[in-house]
Amino acid sequence: MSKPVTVKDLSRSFPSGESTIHAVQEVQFDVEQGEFVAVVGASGSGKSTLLSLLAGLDVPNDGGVWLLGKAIHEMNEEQRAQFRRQHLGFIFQSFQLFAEYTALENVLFPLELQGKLSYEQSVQKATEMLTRLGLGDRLNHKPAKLSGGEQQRVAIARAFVAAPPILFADEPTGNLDQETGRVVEEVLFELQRETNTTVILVTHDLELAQKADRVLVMNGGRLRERP
Amino acid sequence: MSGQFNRWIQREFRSLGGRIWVVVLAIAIGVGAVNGVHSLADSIRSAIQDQSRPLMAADFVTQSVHPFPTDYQDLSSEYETSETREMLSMVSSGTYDSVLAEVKGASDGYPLYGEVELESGQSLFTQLTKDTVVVQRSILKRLNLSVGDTLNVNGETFTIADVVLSESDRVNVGMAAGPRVFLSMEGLDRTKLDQFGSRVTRRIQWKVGEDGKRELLDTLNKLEQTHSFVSTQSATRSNPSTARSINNSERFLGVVALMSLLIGTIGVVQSLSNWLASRRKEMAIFRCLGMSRGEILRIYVTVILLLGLGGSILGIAFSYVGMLTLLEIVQPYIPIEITLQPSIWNWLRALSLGVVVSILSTLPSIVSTTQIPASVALQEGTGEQRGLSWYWYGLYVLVLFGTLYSQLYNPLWAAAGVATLVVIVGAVYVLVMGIQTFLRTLSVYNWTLRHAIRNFASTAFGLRTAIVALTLGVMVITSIGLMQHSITDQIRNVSLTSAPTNFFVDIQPEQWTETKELLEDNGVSHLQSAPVVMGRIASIKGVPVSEIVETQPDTQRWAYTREQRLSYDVPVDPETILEGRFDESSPDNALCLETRYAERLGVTVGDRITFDIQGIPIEFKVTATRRIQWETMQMNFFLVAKGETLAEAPQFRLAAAQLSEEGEEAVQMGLAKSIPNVTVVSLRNIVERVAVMLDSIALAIQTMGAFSMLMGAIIMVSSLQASLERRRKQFRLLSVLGSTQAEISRMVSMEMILTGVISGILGSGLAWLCTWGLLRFVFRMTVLPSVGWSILSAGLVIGMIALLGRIVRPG
Repeated sequence: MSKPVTVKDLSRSFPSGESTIHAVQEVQFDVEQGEFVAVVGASGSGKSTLLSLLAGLDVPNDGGVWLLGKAIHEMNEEQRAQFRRQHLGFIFQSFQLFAEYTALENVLFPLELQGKLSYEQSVQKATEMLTRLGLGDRLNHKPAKLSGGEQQRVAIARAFVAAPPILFADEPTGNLDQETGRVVEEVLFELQRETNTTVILVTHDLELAQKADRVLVMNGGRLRERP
Repeated sequence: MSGQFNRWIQREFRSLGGRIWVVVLAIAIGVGAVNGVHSLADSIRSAIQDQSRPLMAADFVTQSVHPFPTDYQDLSSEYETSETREMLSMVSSGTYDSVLAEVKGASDGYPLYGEVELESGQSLFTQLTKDTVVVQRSILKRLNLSVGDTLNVNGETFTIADVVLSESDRVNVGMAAGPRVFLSMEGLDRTKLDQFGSRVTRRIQWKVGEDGKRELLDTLNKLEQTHSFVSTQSATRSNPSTARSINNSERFLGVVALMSLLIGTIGVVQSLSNWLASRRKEMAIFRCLGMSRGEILRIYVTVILLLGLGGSILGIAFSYVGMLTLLEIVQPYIPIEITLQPSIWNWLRALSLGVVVSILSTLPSIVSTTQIPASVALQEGTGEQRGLSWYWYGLYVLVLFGTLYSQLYNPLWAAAGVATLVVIVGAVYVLVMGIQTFLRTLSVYNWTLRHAIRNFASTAFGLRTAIVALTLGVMVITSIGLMQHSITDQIRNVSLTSAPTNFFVDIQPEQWTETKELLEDNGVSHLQSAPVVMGRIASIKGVPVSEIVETQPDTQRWAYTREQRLSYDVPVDPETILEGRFDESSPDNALCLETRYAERLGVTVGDRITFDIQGIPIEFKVTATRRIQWETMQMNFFLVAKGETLAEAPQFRLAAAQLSEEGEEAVQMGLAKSIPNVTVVSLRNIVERVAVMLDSIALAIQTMGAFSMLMGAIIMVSSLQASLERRRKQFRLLSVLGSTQAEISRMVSMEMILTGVISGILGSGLAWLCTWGLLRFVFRMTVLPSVGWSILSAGLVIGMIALLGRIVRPG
């Protein structure tokens, strides 16, 4: 059986005036099923570019990414979108909830996109997920009425609700205070363990990274494994 | 649509918030204005068609000022016909109390359609005998008479049998020269009013079944070619003046409607583009979570389609209510009953116009916004939106062309409109760019002013486009204001202050001195008089009229064959001359024509026209064309000649004067005693009625204009507000760096004043130019748009935008 994430000789560069920025250079690694991998590095080290490439939000200049055995770098934009909706989950640094949607509607969205369940079943599943994360009394609140921690828990619920085999998280605690950040971390790890989801997390928070199964370090666009 | 898709649409509507009303109202105003104008014009046309039979009292009417040739009399014996003869005459109670009346003799059977309504409820010919008359109530009132009393008509005594309330074929009741007196044909013969040389309008009314219509019309048209002094009216040819009035009103209101639609379109594009820009982040997240670009496009196109549909439906409702209100005001002053007939075709056209304009005008913004890369979801901001590709500008041009064509029905005019707008937009863009470049070079030491100028001159935030849009908005709404101001001002001023109350017809040259003295003795003002020579066109540019009319459609022949009234040696206002010269230095036999009449005859300056004046051919050279403002009701002529040739021809004099009610009565008495052949036509009632009617039309124009201007103002303010919203982050940064709220407010105010000054001055200046062009070339008016109004408009814009700067809380 193929590994959920395989990356080979991945490179991405951008023109900048007359020079070229090599954001990601010849990156290569695999991730096992249910593994929690943290990618750490300083600002500008290429973490976010790597995440974009891994999730099919951007395409590499060289090399490739295989997710669940599929070469997403060979897919066109629409095929990548279809792949994301069926197999990937996302958690963002600044939550990226839909401001006009209620908490419940935000969590419903991936289920609606997948279209596997009826609306009633989707509502039930989203409600259960939010209740599980302590937001049962906040279902019909819009993001503006929720605290930062609550918003990120809604974002985590949205990421896990469709049970994606792979989940990408970009600085999930970056916009939270330390205490709230720890609560969110706990929720994230707990759900990951329960669902055996493969997670790739990008962070500069070393304390958070240390809790991962494996830590990869980005530096100048190159990746190395931390012993 | 699936339930899931519906839910996404609902959520997008939620994100529109209060903006939804701006968009829906913008569409509604544009669609409502366009639909209203078309519905009203269609209803009036339909009313004329429906009521043409009663309006003519027949299927066809033949009319002549000379006795009908025997051909007509022979033909009439084969059909159901009636005959009428009309003339103006003084009628009296037997003493000196007299009044000018429109006397009408009618044969049995009249009217063939419609009815003459009498107070007693009886039919006309139950009451009319050779010894009785039926009169309008105003005659009884003026002469202090009652039904049963006697009335003197040209020395013959008649008994007043009844009071006439209405007659179906007297269309221009408001324009009548005097109250009506009905006589039987035997009664009319007894008065001897219809004698050789009398001015009598004779009509034969024809009634025919549907099957025979074509045949009869063909026969009448053939007879008309032989007897050119006879004209034939059918449903489509009746009331050409009404048809012209409708077309002119439709053209003017159409321009206002078009501008409303353009304002609406600008509003829709502005509001929706701002909304779409505010949804960029959401779109990136949609993309990141796996929504396809096609799905996103479908969602936003559907939202805009629904907004367009809602706005159009609201617009149709607006226009219907507006037109009902307008008809309520205007109906008492127009002779035909107009009912607004719901037209599915008009509704569908308005709906499709609203929806298509909404979708096509915002499609470039939608497509451009949905191009956002999914990776933006991982970033803090949304990055700068890419500019539009050239082909989208091509789409804008196509939308504009389609919109203009839907109103003008003329591809050349629509293309000219598009070209003008493209040139204007380009010029405004270059001007704004120049001003911004200049401002960037300025060294300013006051930091708030420097910041304000830098912000204004910045190429970020899409401010240049916003200023261009703002300038165009100011231009469009100021143009509406200037145009309605110019037109209504002209209407009101002329009709109420200098319009004559009386016309005096048929004054023989030797009677003029006595007539003038009589008028001056009775306090006359605004006295005008001119000699009139009657004649017919014999040839144009050397081609005989008989040859020219063969190639002309029926409706155009009258212009060539009718009896013409020429005047000579009367002053022509040089400001009304559109082409050529006509003054003291003009050569002998120079001719000045009214511009539209010249177009109709196909002549221009330099061409020659020969007139048959009482059997003598006289050649004239066209040296000028001029615009006549018929709405002023002044004495005017299609043809004014120069030189002594006409002085030798048989002629009479026409005079127009303003008299008080008492003066008018005294002059009438004096003329009846000493110069009875002079006909006095009273315009007093006409002037008042026309003034009220024009006021109603002016009110309609102003309401429509004000509505559009208000909408434009709301749209402009909201778009500017949106531009400020995008800079809140900058304001917060300034605050963090130590700027006080007062300093930031001052900075915003300065920037807004600068924006207001630039767009106000540019927009108002362009509006003045556009209005001048429209008035001069489309409406053929020589008035200049008000400079004061342009300055006021620029001031208002500056004030309004500066106020916005004060209101905005930059915290």
